[in-house]
Amino acid sequence: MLCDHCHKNEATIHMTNIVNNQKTEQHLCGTCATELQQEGKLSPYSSFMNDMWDNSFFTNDFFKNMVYPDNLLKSHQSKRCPQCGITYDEFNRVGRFGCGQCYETFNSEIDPLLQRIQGSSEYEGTVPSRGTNVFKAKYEVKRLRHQLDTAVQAEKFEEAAILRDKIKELEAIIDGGKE
Amino acid sequence: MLDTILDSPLSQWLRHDTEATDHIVISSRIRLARNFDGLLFTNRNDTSALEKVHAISRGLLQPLKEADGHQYSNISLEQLSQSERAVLVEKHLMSPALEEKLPYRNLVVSDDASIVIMVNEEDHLRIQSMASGLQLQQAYDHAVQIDKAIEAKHPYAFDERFGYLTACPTNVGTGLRASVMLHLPALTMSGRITRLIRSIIQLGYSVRGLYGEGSESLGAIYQISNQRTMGISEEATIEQLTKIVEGIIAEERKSRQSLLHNDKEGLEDVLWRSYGVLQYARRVNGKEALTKLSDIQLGVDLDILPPWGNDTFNELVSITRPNFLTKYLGNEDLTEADRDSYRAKVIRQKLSK
Repeated sequence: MLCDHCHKNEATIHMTNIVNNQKTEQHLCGTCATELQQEGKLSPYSSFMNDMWDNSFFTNDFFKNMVYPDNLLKSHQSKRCPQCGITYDEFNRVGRFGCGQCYETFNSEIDPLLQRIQGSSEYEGTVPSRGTNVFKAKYEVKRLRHQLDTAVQAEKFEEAAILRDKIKELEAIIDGGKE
Repeated sequence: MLDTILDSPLSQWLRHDTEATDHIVISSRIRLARNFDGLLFTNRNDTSALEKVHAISRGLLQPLKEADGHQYSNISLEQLSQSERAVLVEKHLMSPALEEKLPYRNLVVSDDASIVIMVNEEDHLRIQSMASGLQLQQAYDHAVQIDKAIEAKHPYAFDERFGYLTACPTNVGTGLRASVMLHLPALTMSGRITRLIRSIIQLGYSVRGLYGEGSESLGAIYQISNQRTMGISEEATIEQLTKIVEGIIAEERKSRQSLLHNDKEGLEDVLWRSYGVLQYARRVNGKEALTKLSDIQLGVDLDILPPWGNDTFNELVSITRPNFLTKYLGNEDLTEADRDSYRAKVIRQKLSK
């Protein structure tokens, strides 16, 4: 959705005002919202809401720490992706990361997120051809272990023995690479 | 080649070459989400990244031809009229999201339209591979051929822990979305589809109507696709989805038999009525067309109605979509009544053959 004011940027601030049973909605981008607020053109109700969420509202540190544990506040506010410049809060608003580096920057937040939305944060897919041998071997082992389980369940022991040998070979590569 | 894509109702890959006795599976589709290493994702609107991706995509025509032997061409969205773009959306060759932001957006398409790469959409590349019937593995193998050819020249954003990195975390990992389009009239008529959909969703797969997200199912056409891209390999995703679809096909066949068994004449009555209406009606809206065409296909499958071509259902479903119809008629200023009247005519002509 585009900003109601400049019609250029993606709207990130969504306000619903209900005055005398009349509902109005405003969708603004960050820049326009700040400008409008400074010019006093935002509805008084919404500016009150902004104050509430602004950290200056919590002048008392003790109170702030009671509401939000310190580390939670800081990690979300200060961490910025060095490549594209977004923060985790910005990601939360738009639901899209800005670059590949974001996954490194926010990896501690992404892990539980993936657990929640995908039920797993473990990658099990193929590996690009430029991947290192050790890395490829690791994934191949994972894949073969699945096959081994199926083979054992189906009581195909000859096949299982072959798979087991392959896994051993690959594990040797992995161990070799670590040294 | 763009003309053949825009003007022919069915892409080559969608034509059935087998004499299947029923037409439950319409098509299989694979999508890989990929981003190039070191470039900002498209949602950052970074001109230099958009330009670089655009340039890379234009350089792909030759390497892709070497990879699978097809001719590839580049369609720049800016050069198309709005109605032409709308046809591409209707034909699932591009997403509505790509339609909104034109500069640097383009499509790289193979001559038979079995491969369509969307450039600078939510991810730098969305490689789509399509096949008729239930052929997920074939479609996936083709996508991998293309994927590897691109990767050999331009490394992707990839992380050992998270796999292929994508703008949205719902795609990160394999970046793979596999989907199958199915025609399930008997399950829909008997109402058993509701429970079936619920159980498919519980298995972690999504079920949608004919036209993408949030659309209701028209003409008993459903799209089933995987959701998870982490914690599961590409092979397993395709294997599981294929099994689920095979299960659904079996259910649909069972439902068809029980409809026949319970009240054959009642079913015949419904199907012949739809046939009768489309044979003689003078105005048919899009929704009615889909519903009744679906009835006729069921009637043909069950030998109740006279046979029509193997592809006639798919063809008429494409032709009678509003945007395609407009393009088909070569007239952009049609009123709704005009369109309904043309739609009725096109269908009548097909049915009288």
